[in-house]
Amino acid sequence: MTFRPLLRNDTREVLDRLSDIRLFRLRINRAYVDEVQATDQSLGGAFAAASEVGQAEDLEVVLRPRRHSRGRIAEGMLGVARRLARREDLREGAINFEVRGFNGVTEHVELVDILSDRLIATRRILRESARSRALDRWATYAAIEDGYREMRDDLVRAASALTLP
Amino acid sequence: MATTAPETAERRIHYYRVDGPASTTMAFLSQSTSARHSATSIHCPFAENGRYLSGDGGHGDLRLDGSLSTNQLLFDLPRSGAPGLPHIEETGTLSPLGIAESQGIAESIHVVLFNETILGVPSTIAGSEFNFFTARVSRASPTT
Repeated sequence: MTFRPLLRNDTREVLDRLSDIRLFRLRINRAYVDEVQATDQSLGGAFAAASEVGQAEDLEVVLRPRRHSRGRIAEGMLGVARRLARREDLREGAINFEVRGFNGVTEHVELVDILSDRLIATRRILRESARSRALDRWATYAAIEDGYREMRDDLVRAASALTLP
Repeated sequence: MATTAPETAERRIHYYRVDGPASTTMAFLSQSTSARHSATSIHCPFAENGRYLSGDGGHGDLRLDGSLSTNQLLFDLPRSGAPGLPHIEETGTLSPLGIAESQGIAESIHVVLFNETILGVPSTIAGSEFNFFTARVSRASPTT
């Protein structure tokens, strides 16, 4: 039995149509470094090093081309971006993930916000007390149910797409 | 006299497709734990505070709240026990967190299961808030 995140898949399709990459910006939770490393050793290593130095909870890597370098970064990063975008746990560990590149279909340079396809509800939930991070149990269940009601059509559509071969 | 508004926290709620009806998913989850570093085989006996299984070898304890209705689950997973506890600080003076050897610091996630029929097949959509500090429902692992 597996839990598969429910997504709209339109941004991944746009990413697949890019023929080059001109910006790569990834911001993650520190806890997600191992997963990035499993996808790409070098990129994961960069995050791991930043994590050790800064002890921060959020880490970000931004790759841009040098000026006068015909506006592109290494071709391999497009493959890295596609592999990361296909990770089912991406939405749990990544906070921001943007790629800019040339779309061969539209013949325009486009910015793709990879995480914009996530079906996520954001809610403010009552805490158990002012000093506690713990959430009020019933308020949390109500928030989950409220998000479900609001997005039900999209959730069922995304769930149906997962069953397709 | 003005009253203080209750404290709230912003949380992202993720949704998942699970094959099978909610009752099957419930049975599966109640025998699983998705602690980040290990999956522990769980067969929770009922205890005073719900279903509770004592951990082994640092896997941590798991408490399933037994007072909930059928489609709601609460996982309490210890974030840390001794060693690994933070200090208490007061005006620059640090002191140990005075809790018993048998106690730890717990983090919770809440899960709600929704019955749906997807393309004619009884299925579950599960919703759960994201908590950076504890387990993710997507990592729930089958037990033996």
